[in-house]
Amino acid sequence: MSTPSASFIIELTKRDFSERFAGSVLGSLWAIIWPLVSLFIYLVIFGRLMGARLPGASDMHAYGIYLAAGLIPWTSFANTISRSASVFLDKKHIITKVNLSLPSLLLHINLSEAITFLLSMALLFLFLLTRDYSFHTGFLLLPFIYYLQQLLAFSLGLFAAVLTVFVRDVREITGVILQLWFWFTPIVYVLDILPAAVQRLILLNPAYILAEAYQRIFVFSDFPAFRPLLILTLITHIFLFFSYVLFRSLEKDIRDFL
Amino acid sequence: MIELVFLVCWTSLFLVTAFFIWKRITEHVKVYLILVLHLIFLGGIFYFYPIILSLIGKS
Repeated sequence: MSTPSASFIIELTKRDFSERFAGSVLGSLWAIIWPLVSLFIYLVIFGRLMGARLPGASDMHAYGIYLAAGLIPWTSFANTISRSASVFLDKKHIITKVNLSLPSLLLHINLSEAITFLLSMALLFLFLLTRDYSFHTGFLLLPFIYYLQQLLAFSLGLFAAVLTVFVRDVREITGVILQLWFWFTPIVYVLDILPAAVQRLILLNPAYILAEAYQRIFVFSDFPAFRPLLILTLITHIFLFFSYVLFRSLEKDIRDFL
Repeated sequence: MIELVFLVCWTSLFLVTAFFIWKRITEHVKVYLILVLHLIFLGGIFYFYPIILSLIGKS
C-alpha cells in the first residue's frame, strides 16, 4: 500500500472544489451559502421560542450565536461522514487505475470540509466583531476541539466507506443516521426543554460533547468541560484504531470488489 | 498568555515528532505510531490546559 502524500491530498482537494461547483456562477461560495441558509431558516423558525430558553442570555441575538456555534461545526462533521461513506465508490475510476493510498481519499474530504468550516467561521467572527463581542482565551481551544471532531468524523467515515463497498445500502443508512443524530443533539434546541430522562441519554452523545464545547465558548464565554473532551479523545482514538484495522484487513477485497 | 505559549509549544512538539515519524520510518507501523501520537497530543491538551488555568487562577 502506498502512503498518502501531502501534495496528492492538496491536489485532490483543489479538484474537489472545482468539480463540486463546476459551471456555477458563484462557484465555491455555495459551500458556505448552504450552512448560512440553514442557519437563517432555524433562526426564523426557532428563534423566538428557543431564544427565551437560553440560560443567562435570553434573546434572539444570543440564540443566533448559539445556533451558529453548533450548526457550523455539525455541518462540517456530517458532510465529512456522509461524503466519506461513498468516497471509494465515487472515486472508483481513479482507484482502479492508480495504486493510491485509499485513506488519502478521506483526508482530502476532511481538508475540503475544514476549508469550508474556516470560511463559515470567518463570517461568524466578522459578525461578532460588528457586535462588540468580547473574545476570551477559551477561543484558543477551538482548533483543537475541531481537530478532535474531524478525527471522529474521519474514523466514522472510514468505517462507513469500507462497509459501503460491500453493502451499498450503508451510504443511505449513513444519511438516515446523521439526520437522526442531528435532532438527537441540542444544536437547534436547548437541552433544558427535554425531559430529565432524555437529557441523561443525550449526555452520552459524542456530538453533544462537541456541540456543548462550542456553545460554552461562544455563548456563555466559558471554557469547555474538559473531562468529557478527554473521554471523547480516548473513544475517538479507539474507534479510529478499529476502523483502520478493519480497513487494512479488507483493503485487498475493497480493490477487487471495485 | 501562558496558555497560548503552552498550546503553541505542545502543537510544535507534536508536529515535529509527527514529521520525523512519517519521514524516518518506512514500515507501516508508522500509521499506528501517528495514531498514538494524536492521542497523546489531544489528550495532553485537554488534560494540561485546565491545570494551567487553575495555576494562573482562571478556572
